Amino acid sequence: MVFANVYKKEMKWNLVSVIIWTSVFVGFCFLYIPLSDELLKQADEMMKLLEKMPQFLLQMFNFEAEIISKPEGLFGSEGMSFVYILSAIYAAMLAGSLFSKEFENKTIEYLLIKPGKRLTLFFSKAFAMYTYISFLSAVFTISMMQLFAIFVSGDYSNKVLLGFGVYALAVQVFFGSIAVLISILTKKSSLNTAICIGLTIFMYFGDSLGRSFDHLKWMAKISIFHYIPLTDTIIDEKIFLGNSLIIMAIGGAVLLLSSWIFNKTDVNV
Amino acid sequence: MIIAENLKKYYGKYRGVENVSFKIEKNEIYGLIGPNGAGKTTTIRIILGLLKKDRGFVKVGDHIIPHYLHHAKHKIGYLPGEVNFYGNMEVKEFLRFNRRFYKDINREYENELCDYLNIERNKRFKELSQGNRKIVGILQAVVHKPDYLILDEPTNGLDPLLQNKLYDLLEKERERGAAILFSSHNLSEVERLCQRVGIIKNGELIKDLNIDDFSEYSRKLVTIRGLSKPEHLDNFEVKNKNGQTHVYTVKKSQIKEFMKKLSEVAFEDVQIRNPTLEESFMEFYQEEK
Repeated sequence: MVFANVYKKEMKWNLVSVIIWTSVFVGFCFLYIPLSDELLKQADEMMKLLEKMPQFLLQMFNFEAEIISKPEGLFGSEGMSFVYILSAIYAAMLAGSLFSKEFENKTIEYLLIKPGKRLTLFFSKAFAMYTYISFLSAVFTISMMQLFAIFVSGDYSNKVLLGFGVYALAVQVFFGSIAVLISILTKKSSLNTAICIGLTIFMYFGDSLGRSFDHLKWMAKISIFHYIPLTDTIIDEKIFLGNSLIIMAIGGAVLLLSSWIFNKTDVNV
Repeated sequence: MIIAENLKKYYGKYRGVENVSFKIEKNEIYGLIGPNGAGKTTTIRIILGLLKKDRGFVKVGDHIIPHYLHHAKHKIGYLPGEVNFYGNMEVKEFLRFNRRFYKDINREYENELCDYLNIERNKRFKELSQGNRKIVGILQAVVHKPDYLILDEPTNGLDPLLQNKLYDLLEKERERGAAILFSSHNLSEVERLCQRVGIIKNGELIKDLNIDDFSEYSRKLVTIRGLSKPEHLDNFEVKNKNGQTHVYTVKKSQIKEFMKKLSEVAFEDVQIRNPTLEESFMEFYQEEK
């Protein structure tokens, strides 16, 4: 009863936000995918340009001949960077709305004295977060595949596109869970979003730098993006499903830690 | 019954409460009184399991808090000191949300309360005044007919008309059998409503009195200008004297006698007022020293 009540409330009050974010994701695909096809038609010119660029720069931004000669490669190498960053921002904002805002608005006091365990309240909110994250990732994946079917004339791998969807989901689950932990600890939504965006950028570019410079390899190792490599996915047409599941499991573990903290800490708003 | 025994809570090195003990029986309103920062809200939050105590024992009904809090929650009604609900939610929607936490809220009773408290159900929370937010807070605290009602400074921000409605409502809740904890820094409302009173100072419960004993502490300040024979009122305590103006501190039980004596002498003007909160608490605190 309590779980369903809070879950319903969260689903309703975060619906507008998920619609806007879904539109952003779909809109981004809509702008980028038709462009990929055009770029692909001029791949030869692009290759000539790339040959003149420093190797490390090409490596950092996933500009490899084998990648940009494929339609899904163009989207995967550059477009997915934005998708990752947008995914992390959305997950952080959603977690902030579900958790830190309750502390900021002092409504947490009301919720905690209503019937039900603290953990029930926590997991009803977490479940609402995962529902919307899954919804967003599903719409992103479907729209991406549909737009490829409509606008891309060359051959491409649907399996790779599906992989992008799985990676977007893994990134959102991971950063959403991290954002919940930060929300519980800081009780401030602005701080939560800022830390999450910072962490995403650090991990994303840390992975790129780690691939380019030996002495920065450690940065790649601690980045989740290292374990869901877009280049290898495109070249080998292989989804790193196991790694994606492990990243989501780490997110789950972080969520469990957050629930433990939420259950134990004083609520003094 | 609500039982709090030897509660202790520190925020780092700062004392929240220490040695706070009281019991509240069924059909009883217990007033927890003290100035801001005395520890009233901390005590309430420990009872509600929102704060962990460093030491002590809390029981609400048959349930030890915080271990069995979830078993007691449906029997507890709580009004926080600062009422903040969801700004964009309409009151009627909030009431629906609140209703779904309980198995058996009587809609008829909810409507009666809405009418009695003049609650505007179609407005959003952010459109309500502080006083109107408070009355919605009061409604959500009592609508499920709780056995234990905990109110943190409920009359703050309410106009006198709504204050009186709240007093009547609390009296009805008490008659129904609820044990009520009522924190306040308004002595006269505590005197009017409560059967027993706990006075809290710097985190410590310094007195636990029944209402008759508490009334003994209740004073009026009588300011007299141009008093012809001050010696005629020698039996009463002079708080201060400034030229032709005398200020007397008179126990409420002696006020008739004081006025009778005063009528026997000439004076230019008289003013009777309740002491300020600080002045009242000084009375308790001085005795404590």
